Amino acid sequence: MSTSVMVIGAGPAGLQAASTLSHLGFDVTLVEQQDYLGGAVARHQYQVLMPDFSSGPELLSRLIERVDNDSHITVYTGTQVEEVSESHDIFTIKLSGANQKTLQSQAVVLATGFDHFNPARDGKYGYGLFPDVITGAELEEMFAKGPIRRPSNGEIPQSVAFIYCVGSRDRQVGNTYCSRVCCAVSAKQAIELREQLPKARISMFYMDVRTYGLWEDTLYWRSQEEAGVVYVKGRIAEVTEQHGRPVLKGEDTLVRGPFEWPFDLVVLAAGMEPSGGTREMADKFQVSLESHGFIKQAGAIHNASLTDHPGVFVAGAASGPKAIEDSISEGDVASLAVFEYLKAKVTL
Amino acid sequence: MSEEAVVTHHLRLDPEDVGEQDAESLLDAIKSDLRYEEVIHGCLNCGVCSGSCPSHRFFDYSPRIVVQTVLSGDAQAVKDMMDEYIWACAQCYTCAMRCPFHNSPGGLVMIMREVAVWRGMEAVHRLLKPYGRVLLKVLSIGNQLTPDMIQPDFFPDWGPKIPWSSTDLAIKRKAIPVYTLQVTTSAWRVSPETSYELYTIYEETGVFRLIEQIDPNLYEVVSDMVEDLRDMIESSR
Repeated sequence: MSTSVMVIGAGPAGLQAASTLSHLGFDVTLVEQQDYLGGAVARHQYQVLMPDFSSGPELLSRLIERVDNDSHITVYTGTQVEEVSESHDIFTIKLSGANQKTLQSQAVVLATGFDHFNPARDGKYGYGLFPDVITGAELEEMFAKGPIRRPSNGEIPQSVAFIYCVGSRDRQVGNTYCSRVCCAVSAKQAIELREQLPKARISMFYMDVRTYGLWEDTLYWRSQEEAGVVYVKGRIAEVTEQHGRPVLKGEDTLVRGPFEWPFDLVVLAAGMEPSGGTREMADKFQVSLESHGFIKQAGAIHNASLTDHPGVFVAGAASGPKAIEDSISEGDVASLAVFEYLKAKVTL
Repeated sequence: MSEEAVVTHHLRLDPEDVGEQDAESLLDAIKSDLRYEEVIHGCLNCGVCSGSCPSHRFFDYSPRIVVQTVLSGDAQAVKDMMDEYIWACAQCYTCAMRCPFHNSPGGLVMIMREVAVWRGMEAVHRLLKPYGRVLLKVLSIGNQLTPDMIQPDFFPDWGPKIPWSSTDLAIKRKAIPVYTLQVTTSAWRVSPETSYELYTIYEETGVFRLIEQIDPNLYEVVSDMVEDLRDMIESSR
């Protein structure tokens, strides 16, 4: 019997895991519930990636081509995991949707990723009420489609505000963690916006700027030095609307005190939450979640891809917010962990 | 509530402490309040409370600064704040509704005000003076505002119809088809038995002792009322 591994979720982490597992000698089934590959990068048509401004479509085509051209990888899109049973360390997995079949796998990699926080759940931002209040992901879609315009009237925005920590670091919405990438992604987006809007006022409203590691000067400093972006320390308390423009209300905690400040366009840096698929697969494969609802990394710091269920591994944002580069790395880490786990049992 | 908790709360309102205004002792009273750990968990210094605060918009008042000052442990700064600063809070609790740390700066201000009142701080005499009428209503019948207190000069924010609303009160109230509301000296009809129970609560919880400290004249008026009502009720039993 051949040694087969199932990878669930075909975002950057899952695509990488599938390819690496194949290189390691396994037969791989890659299952994706959407009818496209690429996860969030494809869903929101990311054109320019944080941190290095490399091309999103190029990254995707590289990851996808490797999977497509590999005879040891079978890709099932539009396909869901319906039912899972386990006997003698072999998973029997029933698929539904576009490919209704039952497969057996000796190991499983969960790469089921994240969903963006839906800001409509936090009424203070007026998301869904005011057309000029959009999410960072929607801004990415705008970059992909053409020039940036105000959704309300199609005009060129003269002022743009970014609101940090939307749906993150906030007990009121139940997410007490930091989503890690939104600060740097917002700085990247502001730098991109500047190219299109040479005269616009671009303001960032933050509690802390967490462009950690090498992103500090390449994104945070650069956005100020090269793009003239202004940072205001104060988390936005509410968004209202006056004369057809969103008005940000808050406290400039360092300099100027209370403000009510109108902008043409407001971008919400919405954080990351475990996706519906992540929660569902955790349940079906009986792996524990950590306290924030992501898949628990049972190997702690010595192996990030172990879950508390032998034979089930995790990669990417399913185990917590992370950048694309880290998700891709974890695809490799999980593949090696699968190799370690299975080499004791089978001869490759 | 555990017995220990009751004792802790009671100690804070110990009559022995009335008049004690040493700064460290005030801060200690605030931090040892039963509610303190419910209202302050820490502070991210994000400014959402102040950004939400109607008083911050118009006065020199920031709930964030109140929280930060208390957390700083600077007892003198906290005491200074209790003199005037914290009294700008409107107790709307929008801060508590929005704080990402689930703090309640409004709740902290409430504790600080109660300590200020109990310790008989000068600010309290000054600030509560205009509320003598309200206090009398609260103490005697448990209502804050009654129809006969509506005077156009004191309620400009109620709009242009307020002069009309304040005339012919008795007739207008009679037009309300609810028996208990057809009164002008209370918000609704309050039975003597209700006031009797209210007085018992005020006595047991130390409210009367508190009033005695802040406003001896008011206390005298209220004492007479209480005595008369008790005589009436107890003799009719």
